[in-house]
Formats: sequence, C-alpha cells, structure tokens
Amino acid sequence: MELLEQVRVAGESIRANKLRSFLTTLGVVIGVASVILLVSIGEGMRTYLANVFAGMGSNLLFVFPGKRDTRGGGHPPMSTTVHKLTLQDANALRQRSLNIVGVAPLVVGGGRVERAARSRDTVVLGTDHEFIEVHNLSVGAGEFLREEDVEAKHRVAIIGQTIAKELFGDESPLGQPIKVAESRFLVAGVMAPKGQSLGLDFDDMVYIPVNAALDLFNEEGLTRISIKAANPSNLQPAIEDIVRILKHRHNNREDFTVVSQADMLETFNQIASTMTYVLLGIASISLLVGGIGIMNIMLVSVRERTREIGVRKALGARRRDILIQFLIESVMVSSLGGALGLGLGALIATSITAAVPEIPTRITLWILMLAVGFSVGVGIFFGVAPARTAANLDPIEALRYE
Amino acid sequence: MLIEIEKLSKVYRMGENEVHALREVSLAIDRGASVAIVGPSGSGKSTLMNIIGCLDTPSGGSYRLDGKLVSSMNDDALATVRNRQIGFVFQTFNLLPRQSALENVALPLLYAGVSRRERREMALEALRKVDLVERAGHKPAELSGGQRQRVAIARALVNRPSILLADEPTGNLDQKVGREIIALFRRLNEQENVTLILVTHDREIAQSARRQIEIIDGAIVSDRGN
Repeated sequence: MELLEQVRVAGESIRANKLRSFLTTLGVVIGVASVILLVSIGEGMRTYLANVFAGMGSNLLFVFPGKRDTRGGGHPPMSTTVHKLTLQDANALRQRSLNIVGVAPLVVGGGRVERAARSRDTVVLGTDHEFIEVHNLSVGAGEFLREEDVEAKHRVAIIGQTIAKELFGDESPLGQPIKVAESRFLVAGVMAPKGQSLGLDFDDMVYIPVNAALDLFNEEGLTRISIKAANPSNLQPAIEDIVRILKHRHNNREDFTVVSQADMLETFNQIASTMTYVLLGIASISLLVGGIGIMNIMLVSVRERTREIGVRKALGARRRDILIQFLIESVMVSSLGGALGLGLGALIATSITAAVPEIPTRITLWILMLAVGFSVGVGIFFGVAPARTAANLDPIEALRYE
Repeated sequence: MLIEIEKLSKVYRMGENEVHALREVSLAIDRGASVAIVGPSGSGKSTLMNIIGCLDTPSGGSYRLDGKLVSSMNDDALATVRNRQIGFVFQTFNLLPRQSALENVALPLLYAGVSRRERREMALEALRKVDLVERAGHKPAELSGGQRQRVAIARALVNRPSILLADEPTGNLDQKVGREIIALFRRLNEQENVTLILVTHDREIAQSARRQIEIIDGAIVSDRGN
C-alpha cells in the first residue's frame, strides 16, 4: 500500500476523533513547548553572556582577595584573607609591570543617593581615573574622576544616566551637591549610557574616589582590582607579573586570585550548559508522559478498530500494511503535537523576551530539529507496541470481534 | 480443478481437550461452480470456509488453490492469495463506516498496489455490476441493508477473484432483499464465471446453488448435484 494512501487513512482516523486526537497530542505539545522554551532560554543566556564579555574587552583581568582553588568568577570566597588588597597593591601593579596598561582599584558598596527630597538606593563604586579606560566606559557630560581627586580625596561623584534622570530630571547635575550614604559630594560628571552587563546596571551607579569609598564604607581592603593587560591575545605575561608583584608584597603568600575574562566566560558557559541539560531532562519527562498518552490512546484505537483490521486483513492487507498504518497514525498524532508545541514554545519564548528583556531567548535551528526529532521519535517509540498488537491480530478473531 | 482439498483436518485445543473441527475432509471444486456448504452451527462449515478463504491454515492434509499449495503458505503469502483470488462477502457486510461506497469497494485494490486512477475505474466498474454506481459517493450509513450487501459484493468482485466466498450473506436481510442478493450471486456466477461458494444453514438458499455439500461434525455427509 502506497505511503500517501496510508497518510490519508491515518489523517482520516485522526479527524474522525478530533477532540480525542487533540487531547492525546497535549502531552507532546507541552513537552515540546517546554523543550523549545527552556533550551531557547539557555541558548539566549549563552549568547547574551558571550556578547557581554565581548563588550568588556578580552584583555580584562580581575584580582580578588583570598585564594581559591577553583577558577571562576562570582563572589570572593569566605576564606582567611591574611592580606587584604590595598590601594598600594594597585599602585604597585600600575608601576611595576610593562604587561599591564590599566589598573582600577574597586570598592563596591550599596548606599542611598539623595538630592533634596529625591533619593535612590544604588550601587556605589569607589575607584580611580583609570576605571573608564579599563572597563571601556565613557563619560557623557563633565569628566570622570581625575588622578588628583583620589590623591586629595576630593568629595566628587560621577553618576550614571538613571540616577541623573531620577534625581535631576532635565536639570544639569554638574556641580550640584548630592548626598551619598549621608555624606556630601559634588557631581563632577555623568556617564554615557551603557546598559546592563552581568547583572550590573552601569547606568544605575555612583562613582566616587576609591579612598573616599573606603572611608565611607569603613573598609580597609579593596573588593577587587580590575586590570587591563597589554596584549589581548596573550594574558599570561600580565598574570605572571600580577602574581609576582603581589606575592612579593604579601610576604610571598599567594592570598589572592587572578581571574581572566575567559575563565569567567567558561564558568558561565558551564553553568548555562548544565542548566540547559537539567531543563532538557525535565522537559523529556513531559515528553515521556505524552508518549505514554499516545500509546494508551493508540491501544484503545486498535481495540476499537479490531473489526476494521480484520476486514482489511481479509481483503489482503499484510502484517506490514497494518503495522505501518498504525505507526503512521501515531507519528502523525505526535508530529501534530510537536508542531503545535513548537509554535507554542516559540510564542512563549518570544513574548518572554518582549516582556522581560533581561531574559534573552534564542531559537536556533538545532532546537527546532531537536523538537521535531523528539516528537517523531516519541510517535515511533510509543506507536510500535499498539501497531504490533494491531498487525498481529488474527483475522478470524478480529472479524468476529463485537 | 480450482480447489483441491485432500484429507484436510483442523484440530483446536481447548484446555486439555482436542476439538476436531474437520476430520480428513476431501473435496474438489471446479472453476465456475456454484456450491453451497450447509450444516448446523458447530458442524465445521465455518472452519472449512476460513481455510478455503485462506484466513486459516489446516492442521493436516493439503489444500491446493489454482494448482498452488496454499496449506503451507505463511501469513503474508496467504494475505496476497486472499487479495488476488478470494472475494469475501460477510453476513454483517463489514464495510468501513467512514468511507464512501466507492472507497470501500476500492479497498482491496489498495493492497494490490493499483494506481489511484485505476482504483477508481475498477471500483466504478464493480459497482456497475451490482447496479449501485449512482450511490458511489454514499457512506454505508446512508444505504439500505440490501444496498450495503451489494457494495460488499462489489468489493469482493473488484480485484477479479476466482472465488466469491459468501458467509450467510442474507442472514441480516429480510426475505425479499435476501432473494435479490441470491439472484445477484447467480447472475454473477453465470455472467462473470466466478466460482461461488455459499456458506449457509438455510436450505432454501442452499438450493439456489447447483451443488450442495452438507457437513456434520467435521465430515461431509452428503454431496449432491455434482
């Protein structure tokens, strides 16, 4: 029996039980939709992170206080820091290495920024003049922290776009006084818009001289030091210099950790992949349930159509003809579910990104192929048993079946 | 000789007991013959019909159809023989309810690998033989009992089989319609030269065939008109 005819017969049977066929596909619809959704979120995250790191420049290194065995980004560890990272450490790195072109000491804290009656809770970053060079940022109005601002511990602040709008509206903030964590600062500049990166909103930040920040937060050590290496294609000389210089200053102990951007990217990628596989595993369970649903309904269908199978066999249908007929039917049901799930998943993924731009999604060809493959596979795998039952029916018994 | 049956037996196992449905039955039927197989229920006539119709295989003995030894064929080969050589007519018609009369008639051609266009032509030709061309597009539910049985006969004829095998073909019809169906069988047997085998318990219908074979308890007890 020709394939086209088989497809027609199967389609007819699916149409004859529209509601039942639809309910049967539901499991696969949900399964495939969740596969599409979850994997597209994973893929989107991966792409997003790659872009973020590319935007930061590939020659960035970070020094965190404390020694970690595992490489990777994230928070500094809860370890016994013998020596904190100090401003002097940063200056030493700046002066003693030819493989380093920029060094920015960083103190990160949280605080309230106020101007008259308006206020905003934000991130306060203590740093120095090299920060914008190291992090590829630029100033929109006024100027960034100057070298002498740090030397003289001037109480000046550079604010991000969001804060400028929030506190000053359309007014120019330059030269205006603001309060940062209860202390008075003068606004010396406004950053050009940059947007978010790795969960940090660069537009929603206040930059003040690093030593002023240490005073403000009552801290002795730096949160980290950002370093720009001279040679983006080979970071090793810069890393070796950092380790050598800091060890010398820290009584020959390596109580700090140097992390390159590549390390961080790799860590994030690992997290993203792990997430993707875990989510994929969860989605597979719903596909499994969907498949069992199909098998169940196909078994019912075979039973209901026992007579029809008997008639077809009496008229000359071979075992293979019946097997293929029912297999095609289950594959069609599951593919239908796959197609609906594909549409649904893509729709949800797109609307999530439209509603919440922070959650990027990306639908790639391999996701689509995975979904199609999954649904056809489910149809075949769970269709074989019912189809075999049908094909193995004894025509005499089947014809007598009431 | 179209059908040559020699010492055919069929034994069913029912738990510990063996049931002999057929006991060394021998029988020969000519091409173009018209034969009625009669007997009470449980006599083995259905078993004989199933074996002749290649739906079942015997436990012993041999069955040659058109010179070929059918009794030792596998399931797929038997399916092909059914498709090419046998036309079944059932008591309950056994039409597929969702398909039109034409599609029902064309069903055996589907498994014979006939092209779509030819299927349509051959099915219309078969419907013409039973005077139902004008109902080709109707579903079985839209047809009367007699019309349904005529569609079933057209389906049995469509692949030009050598044997028309009818199992109680008038059992679900009233007497008048039943006579019309029997008349149709006689006409097809004479005009199309198709071998007719009627299985029935009705003596009057059996008399419409030229030869009557009576089976009781798995054995032929009389064979008249041959």
